[in-house]
Amino acid sequence: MSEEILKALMQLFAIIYKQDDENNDLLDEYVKEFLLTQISRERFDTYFDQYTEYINANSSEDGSVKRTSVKDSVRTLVLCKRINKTLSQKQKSIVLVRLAEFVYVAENLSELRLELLKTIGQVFRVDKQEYKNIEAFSAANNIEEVIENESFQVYLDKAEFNIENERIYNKDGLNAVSFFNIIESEGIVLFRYFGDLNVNLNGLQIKERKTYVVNDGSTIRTPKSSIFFSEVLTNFRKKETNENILFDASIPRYTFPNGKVALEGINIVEESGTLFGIMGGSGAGKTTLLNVLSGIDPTPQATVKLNGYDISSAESKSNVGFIPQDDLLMEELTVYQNLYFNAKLLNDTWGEEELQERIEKVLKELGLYEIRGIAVGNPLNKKISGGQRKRLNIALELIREPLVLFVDEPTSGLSSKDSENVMQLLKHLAQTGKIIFVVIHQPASEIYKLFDKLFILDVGGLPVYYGNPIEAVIYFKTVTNQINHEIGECGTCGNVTPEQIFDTLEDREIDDFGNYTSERKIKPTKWNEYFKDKFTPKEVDENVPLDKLETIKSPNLLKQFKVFFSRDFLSRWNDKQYVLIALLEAPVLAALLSFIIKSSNNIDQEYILSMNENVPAYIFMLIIVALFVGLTISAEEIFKDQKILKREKFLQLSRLSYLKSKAIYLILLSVLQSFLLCAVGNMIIELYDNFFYYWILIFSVFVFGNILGLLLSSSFKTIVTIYIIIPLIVIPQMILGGAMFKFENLNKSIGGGHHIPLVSNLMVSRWAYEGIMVAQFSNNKYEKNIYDYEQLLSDYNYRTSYLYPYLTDLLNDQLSDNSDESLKCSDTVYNTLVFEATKPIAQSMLTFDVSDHSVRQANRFIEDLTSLYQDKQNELSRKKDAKIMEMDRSLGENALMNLKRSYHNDNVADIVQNSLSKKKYFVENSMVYQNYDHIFLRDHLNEDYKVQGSFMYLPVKSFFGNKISTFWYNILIIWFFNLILFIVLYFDWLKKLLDIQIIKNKSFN
Amino acid sequence: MNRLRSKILMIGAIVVSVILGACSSSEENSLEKEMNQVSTSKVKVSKEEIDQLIQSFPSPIETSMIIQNAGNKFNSELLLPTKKLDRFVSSYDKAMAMGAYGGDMGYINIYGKSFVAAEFLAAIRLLSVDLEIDRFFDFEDMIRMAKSSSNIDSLQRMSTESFNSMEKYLREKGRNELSVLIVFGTWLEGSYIISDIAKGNMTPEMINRVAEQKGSVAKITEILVANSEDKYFANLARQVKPLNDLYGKVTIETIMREPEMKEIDGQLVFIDNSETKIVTPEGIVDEIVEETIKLRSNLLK
Repeated sequence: MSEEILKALMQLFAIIYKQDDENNDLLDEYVKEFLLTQISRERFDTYFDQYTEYINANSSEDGSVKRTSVKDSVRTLVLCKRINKTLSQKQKSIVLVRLAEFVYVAENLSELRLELLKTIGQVFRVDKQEYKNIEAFSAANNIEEVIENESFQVYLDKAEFNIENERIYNKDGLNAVSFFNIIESEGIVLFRYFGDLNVNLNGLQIKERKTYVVNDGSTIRTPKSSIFFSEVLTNFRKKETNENILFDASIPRYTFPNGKVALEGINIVEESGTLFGIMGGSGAGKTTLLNVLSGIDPTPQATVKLNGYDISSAESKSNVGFIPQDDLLMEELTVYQNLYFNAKLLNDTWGEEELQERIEKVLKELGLYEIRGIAVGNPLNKKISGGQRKRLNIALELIREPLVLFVDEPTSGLSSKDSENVMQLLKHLAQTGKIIFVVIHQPASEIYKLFDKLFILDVGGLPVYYGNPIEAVIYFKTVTNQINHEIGECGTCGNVTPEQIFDTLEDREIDDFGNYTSERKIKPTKWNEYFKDKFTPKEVDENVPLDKLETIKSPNLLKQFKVFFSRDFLSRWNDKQYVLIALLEAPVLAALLSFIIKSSNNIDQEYILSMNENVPAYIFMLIIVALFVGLTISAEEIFKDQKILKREKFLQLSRLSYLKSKAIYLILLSVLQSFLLCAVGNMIIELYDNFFYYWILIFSVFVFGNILGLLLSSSFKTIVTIYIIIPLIVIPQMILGGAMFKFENLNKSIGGGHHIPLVSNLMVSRWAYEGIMVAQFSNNKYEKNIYDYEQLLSDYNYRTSYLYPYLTDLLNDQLSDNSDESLKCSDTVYNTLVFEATKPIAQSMLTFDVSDHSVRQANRFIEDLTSLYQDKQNELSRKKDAKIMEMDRSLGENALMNLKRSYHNDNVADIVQNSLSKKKYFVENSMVYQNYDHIFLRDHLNEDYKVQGSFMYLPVKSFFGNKISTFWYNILIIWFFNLILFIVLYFDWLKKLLDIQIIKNKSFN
Repeated sequence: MNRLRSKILMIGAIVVSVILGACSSSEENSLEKEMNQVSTSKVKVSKEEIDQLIQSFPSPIETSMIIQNAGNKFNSELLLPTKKLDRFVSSYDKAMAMGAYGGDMGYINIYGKSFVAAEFLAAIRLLSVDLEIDRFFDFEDMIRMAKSSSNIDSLQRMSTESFNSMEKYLREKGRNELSVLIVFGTWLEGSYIISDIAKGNMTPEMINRVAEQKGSVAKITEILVANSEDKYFANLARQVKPLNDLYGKVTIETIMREPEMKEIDGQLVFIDNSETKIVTPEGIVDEIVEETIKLRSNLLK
């Protein structure tokens, strides 16, 4: 008790004293006794002197004390007003309680004193009903008076008194009529008793009829019985809250997937208003128990029911809250925003106004209102304190007012003050009628005493204690026959040392040399046997009607998506550094890349695009940059939300909506990034044409990177792993993309050679590179004019320059030994000619008898074809020259050359035409195939051109029988990849696969 | 569910329309259709004409001899620049340029400047790729040879052979006009180099060498004029005409004498006693030289 209260009390005692002459000795005696319980004997005199001084100061000269005077009333008012300013309401209530007790010490009541007491009560602004109860509590002089008052809670041994009353609780062997009053507004519980002289409060002997304030963890003990503060409080709450919750869990045996027993023989039955502590050594299975109880790990091995509803039912889930050990906060959002988005996701039925009201209410309740506008920050870059973070985490759950709350280690990492605050908060919540399960590790005495129930697990998930926390200490001491085993808490300071429990539990044997061995004195199984002997599971009364649980409606997918999206967006937008990097990364890289490689193979200073040898490398680098930036920007996205995601899964929110919001946010960012990348890069390198093609393709690659990044982010356990994995993904994309190494020169065992290796087809880089290269070559302002000519010329030239001379050589080889022209020609020649004969031009102008395999016909046909194609080639190249000259004339001198210089690129052309390759054809499956100028090839569209695998840089591709340009075909392929990745991401297949691997490895160990 | 379905339908519709938009319906484009019709165009330069032309032109080696005898220093300024080959847009341009580079190769070979040769070989290779006659060159071998000066003779022989087979191939293939242009390019470049050397070195032999070109110029003019329905050839004919006119003032008289029959080592041999007499009016060769330089700078840039 503070000095101020004491001082105030002395003055008030004095004033009350003066009101009457009755029983003044008793009053003096009370003051003396009171002071002795509060302060040391040394200081007793000071205060008692003060008291007498006050009395005498106002005595009149004749020595008699004046009755109520105007002066006294004024003094009382002034004093009370001063007290109003210095003492909290709780302290004032206690002062009032003491004054009431003081007044009723006198055997004959003085009206004047009562009047003054009432006045003080009014000035202190004590609730009228509460005042009445306080007065009545002090006034009660016998059992009847106590029982009459409905506000009081009475405990007695019913066998002794033979009274039946609902408000009276039976305690066998309690030799005292104990009664309690609660000052609801301040949470103060008062206690008095009549009867046995041997009653202990927190280990200290107390006096009959005196009023005591009982606190959290207090125990009132008589030789044969005890009353716990928690039960008193619970019984008070029961009266006022309508909530009637029954939590009933039975876990006969719960095993991990690898067969190890995690929990065994656990039965928990709890009702409203319980703060339930779960303790145990490391690895005892506390968190596992919490997960099973809360339904986070739904298992058929356990029956967990909330008011009769299975814990995994929607009704239960709507009323169960879970607060994990880790933060669930979005760092960049403010306290308010965190709550706001959370609340939006929780319940669809709340309107915007109700939502704000709820948030403000919770903020005020948890003392977070002042900091509502502050960004949360992360634990390293603290903006709000650890205690505030924890409270905010609790607030996230409180918004929807769950009936049962599961909290995993709420005090870990907090200062002792913060820990206590948080636990007080939980206690307060429990007092409002909830059941709160808390896993806690080595709590301090203050915190330990807050628990109403304690559950102790030993190694192997075996329960060893279930009951009152203070009793726990006694229980363990008793079982092991320690001295003072009947004392649970320190007699003088009231501290409890929960460590004692574990010291006893885990006490080890000592060997002959006095050293501790690794063997326990009492094994967990033995403790469990003791437990089974002593604790019988509470019976669930089937007849008690249970409240129906209401379900809350989660918002629909679209709404969830909107909330997720705006949450992501806002959280990103608040991080200015991130925004800056995200927006500048692509253009800066583009500028760097394009500036460095801006050079043409040209003796003049002049820059000419067509002579820039770096354009193909530039294109490839754009793709790699897109892939890399896309990957890294998304790689952390889901990872950092993992804990929040766990909670949202618990809340049954849609993963699809979440992923969609992530993906769409990233896609929008990618639209911008790809635009900046291509725009800046192409501008600098002077690639003015085809911007749209570049953009859409680079954008597609960005999205691929994004979704792949999300996939990594959701599948791997640490951020380091994710970043180590990235090169593992990007480098094969570089190797197999077709730009750095020609497919022709790759290892034959992966399919290198004339075709694209199969593994390359899995690389998005290869599709992207081909797409842009083909578009860049064939769709620019220069090539568009002459593409058709070049295509056809290439067609003719391949035949006249390479194919037919080769076939002739083959025939000549065959004839060198034998000059019989009726000989059957080789399959290669025959097959190739059959294919040649199907071409419209050959069909219309030449004849070829398919049934005739002779060398004669082959020779004749080749000659005919050669001369036909040669004529056509000459004719066409003249046409082409004519067209070029025509254009030169119509567009002006050198127009075409200028177009070529500005839009064409020689190196791109070299690559897509494969013009540096010496092998112009190759033989496969007895047929000759073209090995260059694939950019002009169309034969592959013909079903008879049965080439194995496909070529790079084809102009068009077959898509379910339709011709589709390579660019769009490749875009489709890339988006197909994106879709597949998204599906894998949605179903979390990669993570599941990795988990399977891990479990496998574990079982090997 | 309905919303989802309509979304799927919408996405499907977009995809299909993109695909259809990207697909072209017909197998052949219009140009191909046109080409598949029976051809009506005819071969322009006749085989006979070109054969005559080849015979009347001095081979690159002959040109080289004249230059060698003049004893001038190697001057790289004379050569046609090898950068920016894209300035030759049409196959006519390309053929002529290729011929010119061939001429330059001859000049380079005379001086054994193999390091310069590589650059010209590369240019020739690029043009021959465009003209689709690159298979007549073994560029790797040639460039390898160019890197060591001891192989310069083989290089010279190889490039001459390549040019010949290329030009021959073009004729066989029916692309006589390209063949003509290659020959014309080589001739023009050779004439230009000789003219440049002749400018400061007007020896009687040199004057004769320049004047001797009269026949070639006349022949080329004839072919160009004959094909002048083609605008390219018409232009060339117009440009060559002043030179041809100048050569008109040069007279080459052949004094015919009876061939003499002699017996040498027991064999009967005819000896041609005819003499060629070249008459060049004063200053005309200077004019021809100027005109040749002008023509080259007009046609080859």
